[in-house]
Amino acid sequence: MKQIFVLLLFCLSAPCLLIAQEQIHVVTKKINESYNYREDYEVNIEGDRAEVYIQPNLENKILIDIEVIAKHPNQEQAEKDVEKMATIVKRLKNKIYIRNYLDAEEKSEAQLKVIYRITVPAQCPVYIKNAYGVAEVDNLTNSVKINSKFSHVSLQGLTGNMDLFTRYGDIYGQSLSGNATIASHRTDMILKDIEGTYNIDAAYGNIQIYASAGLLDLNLDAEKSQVMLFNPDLSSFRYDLTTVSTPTLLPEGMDFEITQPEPNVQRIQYTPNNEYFPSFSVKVTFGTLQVQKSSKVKRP
Amino acid sequence: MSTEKQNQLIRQAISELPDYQAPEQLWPQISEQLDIDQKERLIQRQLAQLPDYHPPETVWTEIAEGLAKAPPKNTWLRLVRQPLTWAASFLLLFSLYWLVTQSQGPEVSYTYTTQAESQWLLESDWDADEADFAEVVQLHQRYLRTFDDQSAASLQEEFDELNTAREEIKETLDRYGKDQELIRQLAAIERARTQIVNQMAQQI
Repeated sequence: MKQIFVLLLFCLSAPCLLIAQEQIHVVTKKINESYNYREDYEVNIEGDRAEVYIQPNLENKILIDIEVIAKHPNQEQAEKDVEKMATIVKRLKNKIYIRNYLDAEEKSEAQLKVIYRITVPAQCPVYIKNAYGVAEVDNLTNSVKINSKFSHVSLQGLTGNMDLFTRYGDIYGQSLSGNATIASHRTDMILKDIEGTYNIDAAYGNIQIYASAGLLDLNLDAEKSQVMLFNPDLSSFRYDLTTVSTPTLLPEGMDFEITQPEPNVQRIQYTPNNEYFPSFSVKVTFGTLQVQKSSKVKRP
Repeated sequence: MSTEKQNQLIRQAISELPDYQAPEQLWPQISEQLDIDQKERLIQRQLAQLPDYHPPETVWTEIAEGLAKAPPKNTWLRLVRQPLTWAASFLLLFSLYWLVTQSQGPEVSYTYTTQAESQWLLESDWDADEADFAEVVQLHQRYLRTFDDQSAASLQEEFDELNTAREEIKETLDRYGKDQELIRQLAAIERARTQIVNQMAQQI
């Protein structure tokens, strides 16, 4: 009886679901370009409403696939608007510039976005500036710089220098090793299995950092942020934590030295007995701080 | 005066004239010039004895026609003789090759598909609560004028910053078309604004 009722309900609601959906015309303009790679080349991408995906390749080439996508119920409108998005791919000396933009006075009736799929030799430095989109970079070994606004930034398997400047959006980093400098504003951040040296300046963010045995130094200054530090081996790190008007949750069983140099200011310190040790230097103002042993978390 | 006496006077006058010796090299030069003159006279004599010969008129006509035509072109010979021409030709060919290889540009193609989408998801409802927000903000500003409260002032600054971000997203929606990802970001900003407005309401 119950099964019949569910079937009847589905049959009655199916026309409503069909009515709610509309047929949309999708016009895609594809642009392909490639360059033979030279050691001093670097790739500069300036995207606007763009999704940028960068992967390494084994060829000694820089391969660029761009899709400009316009969606609209009217095909003619989609065809017209896809041409409004200007794209530029050119090499000037050792820099390969890839850019898309709408002219200042232009507006699109269709839903417009651009997708870049770019592969480069792993050692090729990459700079991405993007707004209202995505920047995903995997397994490069030299230098990655990202300046993003309202974008999702994903970095996996990178080594070398990382330099991020973000406003809004979020950052997800996994298996990173090298020297990283991150300045983020209203950006949520998850960094997992990180090694090397990290200098992070954050405001208004939800920040989760998962250290690994190879982490050397983490310097974090977070304002009005929720900070969670996860560590596989709590007692092998040196801690120098300063909190200002910030509730703090510390792991049990650790012998922290806690002082209060000023009202609402707490200094929490711990130095391991080892000769060499990695270090957490963290300051949190008007936020929350939690330090605990690593546990698995799901990607947002 | 007798002729003998005149001669004597002349001889005497001549003997009184100053002595002048011609330079030694003058005599060989005079002798050489005399030899040349003699050969020239001999040649002139022999030339005068040569028979006259007049070519037929057709020869002159052919020569005149030949002169009127462009000179024969032997380009390779000229190029060999003129290295600058060689260099210029090579540069021109190289430039043409470079232009041809460089001007190909990226490949462009188009595809056309259709898909079903729920357009009602993209309806704009984000300005629905603005009147309520404005009322709270106005009351909060009145509170700020009365009390010197730093945390309340920072709330106001944060609210202004979020308003700027909200306007940026709305402008992007307007320029690039409505998109679910952008609406998701706008919703996150709206939640943050709501949180601040609630805090303001508590302070009033």
